[in-house]
Amino acid sequence: MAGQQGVPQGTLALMVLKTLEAMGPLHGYGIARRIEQTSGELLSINYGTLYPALLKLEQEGAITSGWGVSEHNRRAKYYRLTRAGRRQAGQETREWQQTASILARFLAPSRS
Amino acid sequence: MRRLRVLAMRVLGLFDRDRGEREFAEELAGHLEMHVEDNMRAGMTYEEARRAALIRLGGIEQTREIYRDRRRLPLADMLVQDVRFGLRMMRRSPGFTSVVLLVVALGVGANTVMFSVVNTLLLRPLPYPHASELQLVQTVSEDGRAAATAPPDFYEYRARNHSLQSLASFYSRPFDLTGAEEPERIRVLIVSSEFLGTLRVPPAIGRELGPADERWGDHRVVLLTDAFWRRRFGADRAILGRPITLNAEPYTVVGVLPRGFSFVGLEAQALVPMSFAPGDNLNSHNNYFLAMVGRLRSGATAATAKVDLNRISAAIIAEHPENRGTQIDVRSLQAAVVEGVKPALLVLLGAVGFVLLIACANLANLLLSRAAARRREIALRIAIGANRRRILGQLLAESVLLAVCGGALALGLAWMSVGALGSFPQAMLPRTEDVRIDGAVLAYTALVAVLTGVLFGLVPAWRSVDVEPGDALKEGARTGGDPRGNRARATLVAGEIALALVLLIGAGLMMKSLQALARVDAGFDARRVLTAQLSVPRKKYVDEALERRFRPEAYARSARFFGDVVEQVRSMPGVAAVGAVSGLPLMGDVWGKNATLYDRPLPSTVTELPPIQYRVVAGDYFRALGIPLLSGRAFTPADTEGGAKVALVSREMARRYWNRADPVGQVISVNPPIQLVPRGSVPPDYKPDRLTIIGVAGDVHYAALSTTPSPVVYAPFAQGSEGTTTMFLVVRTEADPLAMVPALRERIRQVDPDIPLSNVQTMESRVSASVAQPRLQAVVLGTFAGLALLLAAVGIYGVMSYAARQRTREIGIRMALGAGSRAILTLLLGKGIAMVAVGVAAGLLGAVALTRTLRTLLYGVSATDPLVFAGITVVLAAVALLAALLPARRATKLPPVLALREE
Repeated sequence: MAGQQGVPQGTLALMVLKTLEAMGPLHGYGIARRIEQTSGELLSINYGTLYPALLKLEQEGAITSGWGVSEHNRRAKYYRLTRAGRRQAGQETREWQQTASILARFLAPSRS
Repeated sequence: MRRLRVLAMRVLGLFDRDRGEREFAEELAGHLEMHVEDNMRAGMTYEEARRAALIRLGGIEQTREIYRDRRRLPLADMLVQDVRFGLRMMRRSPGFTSVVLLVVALGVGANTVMFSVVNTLLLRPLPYPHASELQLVQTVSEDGRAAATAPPDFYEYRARNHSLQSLASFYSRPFDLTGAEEPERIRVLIVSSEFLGTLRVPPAIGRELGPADERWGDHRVVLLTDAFWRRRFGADRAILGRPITLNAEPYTVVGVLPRGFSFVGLEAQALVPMSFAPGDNLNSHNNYFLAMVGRLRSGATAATAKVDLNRISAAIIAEHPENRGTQIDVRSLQAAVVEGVKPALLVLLGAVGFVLLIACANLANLLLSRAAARRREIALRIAIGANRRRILGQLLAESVLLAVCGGALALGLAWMSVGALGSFPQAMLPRTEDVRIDGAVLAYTALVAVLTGVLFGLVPAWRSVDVEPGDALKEGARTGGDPRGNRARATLVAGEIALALVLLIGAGLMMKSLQALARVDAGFDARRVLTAQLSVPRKKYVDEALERRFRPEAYARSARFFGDVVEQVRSMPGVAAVGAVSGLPLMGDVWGKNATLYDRPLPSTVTELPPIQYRVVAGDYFRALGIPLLSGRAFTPADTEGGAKVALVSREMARRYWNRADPVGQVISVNPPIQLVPRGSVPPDYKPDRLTIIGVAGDVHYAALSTTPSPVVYAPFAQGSEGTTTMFLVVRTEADPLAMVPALRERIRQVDPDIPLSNVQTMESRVSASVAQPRLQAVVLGTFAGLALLLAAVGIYGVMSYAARQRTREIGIRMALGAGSRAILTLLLGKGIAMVAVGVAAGLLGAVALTRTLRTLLYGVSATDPLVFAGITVVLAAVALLAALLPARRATKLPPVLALREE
């Protein structure tokens, strides 16, 4: 899988939030797969790091969790965005967009 | 906000630990299954699919670990774990645990008791509201010595000061309570009306005193203390408003003081208002006997109050020159109460801290030996990846846990000892009844316990983790060869020896000082002498009309009474000699006067007259107490009121004023000549008696054994009683003096049945009580020092036997090769001797620096007394070397074959 890279620092939480925003309630494995798909298979998540990140978001109140039944008819823990999480997602999205646009100016080929 | 929420969630996470773990395991399992299924759908075999899924998950254990740390508070978890681990270790080695607990309990307990005393006396305020405002207001002489205040002056200070909310005066006198039951002598505090208001202690029932109670005629009201009210009146509330008979006069009970009321150790049973009849000689500048206590106004300080009151004092002196040379001193009542015991208390608190330090050093040594045994375990743990910091924390938690458990035991011990302190007499230690375990004591104990744990745990823990896992494991079975551990042990023991030496020298100095006190020639022979106090009521025995005219006949009745008592007692079988005196030796310089010596020019003021102690005596006082007569004669029954006025003087008086020449025949007076007395304060026909010295008596320590005897003038009661109504009977007996008491009481009853005999004590017990405080200090310090010596010896013994055991193989080889036991002994002892030498040197330096703090407690011995220093050093070195010798000798006794086979 050449060309794949790890998750940049501090972006995993936002990816989780945006995934849940788009997909609705989802279990951990589903979130991980979805992030990989969304990134066009460019990102490779170490699945093990996903769960502490989920726990942190839950402790912060951005998401909640509950047990449900998966598409394969199996008990699985589902994560769902809270209202605070939605707000956080919106705010962090704006911040990232701003950062990205600033960086873009630096990275654009200079016209001297 | 978000952080707080996270913290709360994590704290909650601590509690449902198991559920959290289970759920996460299930979640991970589900994740893996889904992943495996996906992979198999993509065409992998089950094994391939599972392997790929596990790899992507990146290590289940690590994930779990990270998740767990995230979920909860790792620090709190660690602490809980450490405590559990510590408890497990404690259970696993009960012997070790109980030794440590015992040592900590004793060491910390002793500190807790000392601190609870210090806390009560030096830190906690006196038991009155806003006690810091209370000040002792004192008249002092130019050289700073405390004196008393005359009533007219007190009234001036009370009325004219601007710095005090209130100023009260007080003095204490024995009163005779008569009536239905057995007559009883009680101690009464005579106070100005604002006394209780100044202290802000309202009576439990009844009313306070008011200004009206000070009016002569309306003054016969009394407040009872709770204890006295319960004992004598059965806690009867109906006593309020009823009269009781005090000094043959009816006093109305107007109130009862709250339970537990005490006033700076003055043990009184009742309070009466201070009031004087018009023209009473007591209420004049002829009598100084009041003490004063004041409460500062807000904003005022002791210093500003002092300035304020001295302004008044200066005005009084301008009018009454007899006050010249005095001024007012104001200082905190609390400081005044404890000032006598403060240095000793601080010394003892320091000493008990030393004992704890020594105990800590011993425990540290014990742990070091144990650490050596656990070296492999710890090396192994480090080798498989345990964090050194984590292990250090764990070991420290273990020792702190031990110390805290020991501290809890210590509190129990302290609680019991503090109860016992209450039975100490006030003279030994003031306010002992207030000593208790409060928040401050608890906090102090907790702090000391934790510190103790850290102190004795830190070095061993540090040594334990400071291992190269490879080396420690390679050592294999050989446990020897921990040179740095040995050095740490030796340093600790040297420290113990140094601390013990300081304590021992301190205790040695105190003992020597006590011995010096015991060797002081008190000036009398206390053996087989009974003493008792006798007071006659003024009403019945003093003619106050004649007294106001300074006529000695005013006291004819009391003179006859004491004469009769002496006669009655003299005729008792078993009595060798009997006399009476107005103030016994060792009771203090209770009656000071200024002597006029007629063989030299008169000074210009009274205060320039030589100060002397004045004692009136009856019967064969000198013979009864065994005071030698150095020249002339003693008083005889012929020295009556009408006879030629005579006096005896003490040797010190002769030495000071007649340059050791025999003063017999000289003429003196103990009252100032009329030229020096302010006009109007005495009747125009005032003429002090001229006394002819008829003899010289040996010096007697009236104040205390530790002070040089003051010059004394003695006068016969019949001629010079000056209104004294209290005398102390002195009876020299042929057998056990206390066996005479019932018969003695009977004889007194025959003279006057209303006069009780009180304060009955042998002279020997008075002497012993007078040194009770220094003896207590010496005994307590001596106990601490003994404990320190024992602990230090145990420490040396432990280290030496450990070193010997480590070298058993080496010793075996040496002996097998032909080394004699003497050579082995020298080899082993060398270390011990070095340890002791270093410790002694450090201890001597410490002692020189620290015994200075003892200086105020010592009598007749310097703080660096070379004999004590040398003697104690020899004793300590001997004990230390013996403790080192025993294990070394045992090592040499081991047969070489056994020694070689060891391990």
